[in-house]
Amino acid sequence: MGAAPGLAAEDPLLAKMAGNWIGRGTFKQSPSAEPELVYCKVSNTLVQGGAALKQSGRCAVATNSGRVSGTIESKGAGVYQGSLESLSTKGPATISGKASNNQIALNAQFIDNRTKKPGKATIQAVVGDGKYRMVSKTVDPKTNQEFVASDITFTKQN
Amino acid sequence: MRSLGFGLERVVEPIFRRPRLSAVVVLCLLALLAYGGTNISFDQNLRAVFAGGTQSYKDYSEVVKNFVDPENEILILVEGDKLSTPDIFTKLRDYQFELQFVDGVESVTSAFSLRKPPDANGDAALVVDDASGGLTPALRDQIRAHPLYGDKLVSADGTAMVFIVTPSEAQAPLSTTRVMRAEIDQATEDVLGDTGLAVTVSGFPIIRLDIVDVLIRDQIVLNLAGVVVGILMSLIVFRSFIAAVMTAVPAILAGGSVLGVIGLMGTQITIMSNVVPALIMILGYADAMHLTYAWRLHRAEGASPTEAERLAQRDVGPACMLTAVTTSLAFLSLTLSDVQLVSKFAWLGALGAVFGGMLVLALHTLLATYVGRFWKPTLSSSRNFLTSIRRPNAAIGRFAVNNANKITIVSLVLAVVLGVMYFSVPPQHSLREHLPKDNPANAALGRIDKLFGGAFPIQIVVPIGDVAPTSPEGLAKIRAVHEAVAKVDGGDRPLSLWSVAEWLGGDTDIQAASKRLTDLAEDMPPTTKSRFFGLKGTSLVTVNVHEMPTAEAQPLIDTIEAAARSAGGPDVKVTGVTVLVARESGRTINNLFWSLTLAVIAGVGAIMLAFRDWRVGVVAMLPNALPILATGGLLFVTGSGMQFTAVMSLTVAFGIAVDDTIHYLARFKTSGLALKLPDRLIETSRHIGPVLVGTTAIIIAGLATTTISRMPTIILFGELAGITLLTALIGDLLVLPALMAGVARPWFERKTARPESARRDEPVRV
Repeated sequence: MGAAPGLAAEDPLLAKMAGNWIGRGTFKQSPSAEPELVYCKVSNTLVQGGAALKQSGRCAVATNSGRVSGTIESKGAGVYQGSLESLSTKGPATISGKASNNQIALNAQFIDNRTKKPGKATIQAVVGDGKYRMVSKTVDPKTNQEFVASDITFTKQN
Repeated sequence: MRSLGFGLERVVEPIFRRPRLSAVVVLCLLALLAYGGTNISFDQNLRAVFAGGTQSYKDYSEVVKNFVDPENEILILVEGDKLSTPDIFTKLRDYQFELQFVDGVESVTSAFSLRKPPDANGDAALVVDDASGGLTPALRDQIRAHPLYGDKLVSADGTAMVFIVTPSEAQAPLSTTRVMRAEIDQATEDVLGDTGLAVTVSGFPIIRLDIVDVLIRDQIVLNLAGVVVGILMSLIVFRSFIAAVMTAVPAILAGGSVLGVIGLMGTQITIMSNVVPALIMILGYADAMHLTYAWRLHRAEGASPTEAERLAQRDVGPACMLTAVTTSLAFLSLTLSDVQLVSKFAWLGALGAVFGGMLVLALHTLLATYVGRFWKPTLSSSRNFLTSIRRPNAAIGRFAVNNANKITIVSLVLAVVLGVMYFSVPPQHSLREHLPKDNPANAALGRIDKLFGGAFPIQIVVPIGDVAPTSPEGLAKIRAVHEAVAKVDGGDRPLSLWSVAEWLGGDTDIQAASKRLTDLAEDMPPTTKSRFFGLKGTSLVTVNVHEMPTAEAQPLIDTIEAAARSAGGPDVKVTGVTVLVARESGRTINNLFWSLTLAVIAGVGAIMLAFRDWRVGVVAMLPNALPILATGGLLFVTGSGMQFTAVMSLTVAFGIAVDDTIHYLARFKTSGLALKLPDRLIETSRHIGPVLVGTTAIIIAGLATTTISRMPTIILFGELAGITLLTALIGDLLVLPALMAGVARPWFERKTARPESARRDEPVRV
């Protein structure tokens, strides 16, 4: 007989990221491109009794904007996984990784919206009080050079 | 004599026989119409102005389906002397981002979204890569030189910018546009609130929203004003509350019933049919005034309320219905128009005129039966406004009779002179004419037109065939059309795939540019793609022109079309809302001239038929043509073009103006039969003149309420109809008796007078 399902415990890191946020930062399409401003407005909601965080919102660069949405779930023992759709992905990216202290390091696999080819990225989220920073690094398929694709700091809104 | 009113006046016969049952039936009908009134809705589609089966409309419908629809774009005009300063320019960059967060926004195009051509690595940097330096003259020039919309986004002096917002839902319902506008206003306040910049949200979706808001406001304000003015005028004319009720209530309910019919039929109130309920109410006032005037005369002579009503209905009921028929014929003549908006307006007016006329007769009868008994004739009750102007009217009649030939000659000369002016008035139409010039969105569109090289796009569809538009062959064809159109004076710098190719360096190496363009096209967002690529092997060349009168726009469009076709072949289509308006308005307004001619023929024909006398129709022609020609002459002198509204106003006003002629001739047939023709005409003027003055005063007072409309076309409708009716009154009181006493004297002079009719013409003493 298996264990009876119980309520998952609230993840403290995800709980810190819940709420409405405005993000500002930079975005680059390739290693050689000039960084451009990126603005985001997202709403993060705890689901599954606090074990997962559901994100929905929108990010914009100067020329266009797109929906961002996804879910990140705590699997326990500092392990996280989920999916995330953004401006640079065609469809949702699958993400998984681990947390230590106030940081979550995730690996993402996705179809690049620009090249329509599979791509990989690492996402690092550093969570503080009333703000968190997400840095995404990816590899340029042309040069195999790793570069910072986006670096966005989110500030919590009242 | 058979009925003047084609038997329609018999609608009151059952009421005299079974008043209570009839009252219940009428109340049930009114309840049904009231229910219909709760279901009225307003047309939201400005394009419907020219909707129809014409080739121009089909081309236009196809281009807005296949390509970008400029009528779907919201334009935000930002103005201010300090716009270039670093702080404010940085806030404007933030505004570009903020606008993209507004719900329902697909994309925002502005100076901040422009990119430089991709470099060797494929990276396309932003033109404004750092806003913190402000909008320097060098940056401003760089933006304006950008082939893709550059000069449409920043003004030459750097004090104005435009943000083009494309909603994700094309032709979205007004409720969506309203919410989006509110969110844009909020974003403007949040980001630019403290900058001192003037920000105006404009573009066709916003103008459409404002027009519908004006339509809704007008329905309330115009109808309420009509009610108030009608009651006041009735009180002034009759100096009796009961008489005012008997005059006003049928008229108000007749106007209201039109709204009920609109609701029951499930049709919508449009920018043209907006005025119909108020118009039917005004006509109802005129009919009810004739009835009340006659009813009081018979009451004063001792008849009971019901008997007085029976006699009043006998005296003026047929003429009232004949006037309803002629008004209806005038409206019906407009149904010939292939523009659905005009034909719907016409059907509504035609139906409303007859139905409203019958309703007025029926309600007046019921009111006379149940309310009329509260009015007691007294010595003072005979002294009202109408009786007080009998003598001046007789004097006018005498003047006309004594100067018959002179008046006839002057009238004929005037008719010729005014006729020449009338036929020289050029057709004119603009979507912007439906909103006042000081409406913020409308005024902003005017400023955008001036500051940014024209806000009115001409769309040129170039068929490419089986090859891709980005292929060297496709590009060559697009280039040929682009360059041919660019040479035409009066058009702005064209925008096409060739603009993009040039931007990519296509003027030096078309093969390389074609390859880069093909790659770039794959990354283009859908809204950008839709500015160049069609669904069926076509590509778009767009050239913006300034707003101009239809008479100037048409030859310019013809020149652009000729240039585009000589370069791209005969299959090239030139379309867009500017083209549609220029081509269709001229043709449609010319068609409406034929409707007006038909209205004149039908109106005069109805008079001949009703009086069974062709000579009556002939003398009615000049007094009724003069008002139309005079109003046309006024348009000529003031330099106004012949708008839709003007022709429709003239047509409807003609239908109403004929009413006075009918009442005059109807009275003449029974008046002063014992007298010689000149005295008989003077007697006719003495009796009917005051009522014609009274009804014209009521109608003009009613039409004067249109001046409180916020829709210039409705104001123009009221002004022109008022001038036409005033001139028609002069025609009926001066020209008509002059003709009958002069050149047409043999037709109307009796060989022997009938002494038995003399008693009828003695002044009424009450």
